[in-house]
Amino acid sequence: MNGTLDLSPVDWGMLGVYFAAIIAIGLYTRRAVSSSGDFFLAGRSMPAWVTGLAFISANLGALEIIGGAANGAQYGAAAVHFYWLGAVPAMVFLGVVMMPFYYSTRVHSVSEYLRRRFNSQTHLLNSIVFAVAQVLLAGVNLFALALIVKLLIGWPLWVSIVLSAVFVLIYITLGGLAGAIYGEVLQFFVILAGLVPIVVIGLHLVGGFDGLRAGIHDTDLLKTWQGSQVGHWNNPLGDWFGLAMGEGFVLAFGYWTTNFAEVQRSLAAKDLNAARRTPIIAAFPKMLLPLFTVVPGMVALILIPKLGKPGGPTFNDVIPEMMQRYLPNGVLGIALTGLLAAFMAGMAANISGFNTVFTYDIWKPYLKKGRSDRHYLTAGRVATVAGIAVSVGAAFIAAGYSNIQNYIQLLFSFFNSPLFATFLLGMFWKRVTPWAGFFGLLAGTAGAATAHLSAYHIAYFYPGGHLDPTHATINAQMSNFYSAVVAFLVDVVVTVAVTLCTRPRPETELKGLVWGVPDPDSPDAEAAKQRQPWWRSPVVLGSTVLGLTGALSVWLVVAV
Amino acid sequence: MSDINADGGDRTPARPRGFDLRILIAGMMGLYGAALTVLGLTDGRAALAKADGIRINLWVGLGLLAIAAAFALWTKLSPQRPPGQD
Repeated sequence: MNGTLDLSPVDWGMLGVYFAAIIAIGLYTRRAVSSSGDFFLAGRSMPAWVTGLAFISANLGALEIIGGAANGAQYGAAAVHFYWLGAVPAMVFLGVVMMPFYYSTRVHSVSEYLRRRFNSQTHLLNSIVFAVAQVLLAGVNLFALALIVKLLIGWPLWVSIVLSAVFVLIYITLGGLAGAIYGEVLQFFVILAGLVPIVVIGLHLVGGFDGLRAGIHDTDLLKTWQGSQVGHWNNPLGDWFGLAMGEGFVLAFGYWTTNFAEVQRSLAAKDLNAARRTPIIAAFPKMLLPLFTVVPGMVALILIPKLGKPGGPTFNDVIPEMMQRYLPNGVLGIALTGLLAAFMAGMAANISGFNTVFTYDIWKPYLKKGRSDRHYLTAGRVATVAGIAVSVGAAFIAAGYSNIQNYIQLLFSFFNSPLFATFLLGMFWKRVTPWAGFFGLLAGTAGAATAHLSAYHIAYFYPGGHLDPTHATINAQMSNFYSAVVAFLVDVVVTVAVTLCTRPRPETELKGLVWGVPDPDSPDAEAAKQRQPWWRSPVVLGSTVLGLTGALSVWLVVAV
Repeated sequence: MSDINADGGDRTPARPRGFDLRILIAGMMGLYGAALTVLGLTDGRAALAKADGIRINLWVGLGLLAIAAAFALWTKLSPQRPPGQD
């Protein structure tokens, strides 16, 4: 029953206080849930700073933290691209350009937008894929959590799976989205308080940033843009085309702008301006996150012997190893709490996204039409319980596979990249027809799968251009980037082709859903006319964070 | 569950009356901060050696207390108004 951490009563106290607060939030927000709108959209009442922090927290699951540190150790400084090239521009685009379509049309979910813009077939296809993926991802989160708890504290897998499922169950079933969002904001602070000491002590040990640069012997790991020439790349993440187009454009935009588990946080905001600022406010902390994930990963390369080598700890063990080696009791308890909280944040985001899509996009339109609001509120609560139960099952199944996370993430990216293409065309070209949406999505996903399987047989995706018959040395990230580009292009080509030979929807049905077809009856039409002070303007805030991110990228190339 | 608004017009906001997330953040960060500060002041040689000589509990504790104070001050200076007015 013993784990690697040397915990004292103080550490347990930190953990206890946190979980007591989470339960209190669930009980407290329950009082305010009286309709399905309260449960699924938190009554659209939240200020932007709350939804913004929840937005970043929903993404700051432990898989993200552990994976970010692992990327830092494996790919070095180039791992900042996942934040600066991928996430930040996509979040700004979501806030500035896409949010009005989601918020002002009063859709409950990203899938519902597809129903209004295209047809029920497109809607159902997307809803089912999303619902299944969310439950599986929640299960993967649970399983990863249980593995960490077993390593650090020594509890058997099933104890931590059941315990954390019960906690998530309590605060979402009671408080709905409001419960999840308040929990996520609290988690944000605890997670950072846990990561700060790891970064401070780690940097102190290696002698600051200068010591870090001097201590990394493999100079490829200091490259961000260097060595990314198309044709003969030696950057850890491949060439600039795959990076900029695949990761920067298609994958990141696909994830951030169409993933309902994220967008849902913005929909809970109290007005259109707050909804638009939500992802942009989240982009500021996202910009600084590499300091808390990539930097510890690189520091660990110097401090932990044999990291990522046969016989040593794996890249995924960076954060747990650093906690065990360097954190004294006290901050150790905070870091453990933050890590567990992060797992639950990820899972809560999956589950609250799932229950909304299940209830509004599958149950209500296709299975039980026209029931009372109370019926759907109950359905949402039952869906939450069922979703968590299935994800516990999925967690036990995941326990039987060594690398199931990779496959699920991969499958998910098959669906997100074409979805982004369909959204982009559908939002900006009113001619795109309902069936074009459906077949574009289908063809895009097939295209991604084909590209993924073919990449293994193309020498260009292997370091130095040497095809490895066992496929072990393939640059997996680079092949992901290119698969995403293929998925996007196939979706665009098929959508345009089908559009040209089918009938579009009449323009009156597309009000507020497409660029250039405004809805004069929009509930936000009045609010949109009001001038906001500059510090509340999505455009000003978005440009600021983009400018800062660009400056950081240039600085990193020059400084190294 | 009988307190549902039958008219459906003026619905209860999801933010319960009297609930202000800022107070919860201030309270929790304050509690963590105070505990860490006390620990940091009394940390023995072993704890210091583990953290490469940094009094990490003390510094993180003070940082959390500062965050708690900032949220408490914000709540005090701009108390929560009903939704829609701010």
